[in-house]
Amino acid sequence: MHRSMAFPFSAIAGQSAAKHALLICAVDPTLGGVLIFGDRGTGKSTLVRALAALLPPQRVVNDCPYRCDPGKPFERCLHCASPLPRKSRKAKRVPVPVVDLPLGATEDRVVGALDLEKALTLGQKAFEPGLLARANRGFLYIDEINLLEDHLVDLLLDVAASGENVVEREGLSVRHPARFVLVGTGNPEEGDLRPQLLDRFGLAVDIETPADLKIRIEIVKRRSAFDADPEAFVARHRRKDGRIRRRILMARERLHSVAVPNPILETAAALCLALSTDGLRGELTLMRAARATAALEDKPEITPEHLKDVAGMALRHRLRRDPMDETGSNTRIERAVANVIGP
Amino acid sequence: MKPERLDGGERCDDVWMAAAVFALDPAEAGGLLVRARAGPVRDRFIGGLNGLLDPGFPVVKLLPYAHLDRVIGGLDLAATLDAGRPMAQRGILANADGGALIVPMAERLPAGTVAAIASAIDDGSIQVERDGLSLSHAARFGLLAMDEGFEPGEGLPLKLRDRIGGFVDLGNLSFRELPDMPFSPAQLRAARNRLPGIRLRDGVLEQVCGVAAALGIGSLRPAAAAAHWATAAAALHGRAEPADDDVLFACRTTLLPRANRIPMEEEPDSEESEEPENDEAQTPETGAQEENGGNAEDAAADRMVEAARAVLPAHLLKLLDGPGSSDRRIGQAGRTASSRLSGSRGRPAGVRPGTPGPDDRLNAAETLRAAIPWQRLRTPPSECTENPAIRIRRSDFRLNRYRQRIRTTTIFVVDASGSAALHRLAEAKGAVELLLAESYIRRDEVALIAFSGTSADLLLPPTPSVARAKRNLCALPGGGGTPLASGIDAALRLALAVRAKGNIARLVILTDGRANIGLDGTSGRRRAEADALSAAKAIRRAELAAVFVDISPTARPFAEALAREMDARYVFMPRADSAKIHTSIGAGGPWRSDEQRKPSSAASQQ
Repeated sequence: MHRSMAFPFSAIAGQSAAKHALLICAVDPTLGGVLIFGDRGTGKSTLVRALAALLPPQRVVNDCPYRCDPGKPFERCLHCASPLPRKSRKAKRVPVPVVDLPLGATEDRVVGALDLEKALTLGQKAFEPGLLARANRGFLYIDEINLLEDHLVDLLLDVAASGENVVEREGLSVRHPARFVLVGTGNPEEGDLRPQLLDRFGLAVDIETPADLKIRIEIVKRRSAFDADPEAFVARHRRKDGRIRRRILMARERLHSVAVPNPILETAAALCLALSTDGLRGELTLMRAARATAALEDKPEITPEHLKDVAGMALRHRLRRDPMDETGSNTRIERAVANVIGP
Repeated sequence: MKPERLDGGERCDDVWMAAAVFALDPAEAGGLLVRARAGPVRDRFIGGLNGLLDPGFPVVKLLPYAHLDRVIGGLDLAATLDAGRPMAQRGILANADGGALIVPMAERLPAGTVAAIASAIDDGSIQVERDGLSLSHAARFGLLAMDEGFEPGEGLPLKLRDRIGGFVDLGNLSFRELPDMPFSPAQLRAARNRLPGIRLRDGVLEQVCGVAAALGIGSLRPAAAAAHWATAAAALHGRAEPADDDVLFACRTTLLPRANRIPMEEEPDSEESEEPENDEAQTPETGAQEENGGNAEDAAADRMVEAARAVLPAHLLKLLDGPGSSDRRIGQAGRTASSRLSGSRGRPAGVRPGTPGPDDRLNAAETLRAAIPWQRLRTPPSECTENPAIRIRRSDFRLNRYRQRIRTTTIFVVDASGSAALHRLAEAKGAVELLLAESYIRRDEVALIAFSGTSADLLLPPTPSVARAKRNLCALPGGGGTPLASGIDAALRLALAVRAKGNIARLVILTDGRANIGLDGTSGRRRAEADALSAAKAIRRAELAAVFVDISPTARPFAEALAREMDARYVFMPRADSAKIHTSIGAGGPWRSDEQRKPSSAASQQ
């Protein structure tokens, strides 16, 4: 991150659903990302940047521009597949990348392109990796996702689905790994998201400005304390942030040993059936989000409570909905949860 | 919402105070929105403001249609060719770092530029991922936005409005009323030195948060801005901490102009607003509608919305699509949001080879990339003494293509008068809701104008958000006279504004046609009808596509004449007998639809 200092994750007041969704994705990055919709000034960007600062560092192959895992390098990675000097095989620890896709980004910078500098000065034909390469094994953060240009959205969807970026331009033919968690934020009042993009996200949460005056005052107070002295403020919250980081690490280790009892699978299926969500992606996401929640809570198996916790964020954007009915999906899910799992 | 009406003196003091707070630390102040038309008053204000700014601060101007590559920055072609390696060019936002960014005609900023400015304000920096460059520049500036949008639906984009600190309205201020600037640069310097030492006394944050909540401001940014403004005001007054006056000033300039509602219980005498009147108008009516009130009333309203779906001709919007019926001036069918390829405006849509014309933008990076593979073959002619670093031929030129999306904006003009009897209004709401859903499917923009009492109000400026339209519609109160001419006139002005942005405007007018309030707000049927007819003629002259939905219980010749006058499709929405609808909803019976498209036959069926 080029930003000097992020607001501490643990100092963010309220927003429990959005925080929970982000933690789930930090534990299980294969879930398909989070979509955060909220009004102006609800602190959407703050949340995502705070998560970035919180994540534990990851091991990567030294010098690999695609940040391959030394344990299981991508077999088609340009860097790691070539016979390398032993030194380059070394691993190092680096922070998990959270790559911003800034507005106005051009396609060549997103997918990567012929390296102009090398071509002009050295006459070499070299591939300059783009943002998708930088985001591999990390997060790709798109603020104002509903304002993203259509051709970039198409491109992102393609890569997000395949986990691989294929570049065919200017006589280059390059493919490299690009597995990333999409984190999108946006404001529903500035236009709706294309349904194809909506469905790609694992989780979706709405965040609202807290209506409670005390919480509102607390938020403004913390913000002004942070602005006045970021270092001191971050230092004050280092311990709490560290606790969350350790929780994420432990949960990652436990994730695959969390049991998924058969009755839970049946309940998840019944819930999706009751809501008539499209396809199996809803069930799968529901189950995996519940599993990550169980892991975060250090529970040996998924319980109906876990399903309840994540039903909203896993399913709300998959309902066939009446475009007029903004609030309807939450109520429908609550009703279905009450019917299938019980109050 | 109009700002609080202040007596002249206080208001002028606030104007210069706001300028001084901005000049103190433009970025920290969160910027300033100046609502004024270009003219001597504004010039004098800007001149005074410039005099206060630290001479070391850069002051950079951003015109609304500056290209994104100029705003954000990108490859500098001339420097690149000169140096033989990629050279970056800083954008306008980066140039404004540490100073002020002046944006005239801010209401015309395109969405991409708005988002870039907003993200620079949030981050204090701007990220460039363009033309093979990956850079980050500091871009911490104070936005000085000049909003010249006085027409309905115009104004600073909401994203920036939320991030702006203070508001100054020079709208009705005459040159004489604006006093001389009371601060000297030396005073400002002293205040600038004092500012970091000013403590925010306990309770100030609570106060401003409380005021923000009472004014119905959801976002938290304005409350934070108000706290800074109070602090800055204290520094200007040479106080160690904000006094009550400073907090009041901060609330007046940062919070009050964005009030979404006027608190009722506190300060009953302080605001003269139309809001309470509307509420009063609403109360007797809703009371008449349902004696048992409360939820039962809501339920009744919901039923009415449902009922309207039953009687509405299916796909009413299609009527607007008939041959020659859409915005004829542009000649677009408007069936879906369409687009045209353009050389210079709109969203990027790839590149194409070609020779740059006056309207084209050369894509430097792609041009260089096209030239590079041929460099070895392109030996310079022997007579050429200079040996350029890169040899570029005409065939290498790559031009940006832009796709300009043409949106169709459907403007709903809803009669909320008392004569559009209560349940008729509910039906009209239902009808609009249904139409909104259709607009959503077509990804159009919608706008909503309601008229009742003596005037027409823009309830919703053009937006792609149907959810928002629905919310505003549900809150629409009914009652009062029928200022039909005002409604049509407001629709016309909005439609022309939409057109000025290159989009297509269409009107859907729902009324019973019983005009009784003239354009000037006086009552009298004859005058009102004459005004309505001349307003309708203006619609025809503007060649706007329109559908006129008559929601009166029986078809009336005047409504038809009106529709004819504006060259609109006339649709008679037959009376919805609530009992009948009830049964048809209960039985899940077939909705009446297509056969009601013809007004005469529909009338006879009923």
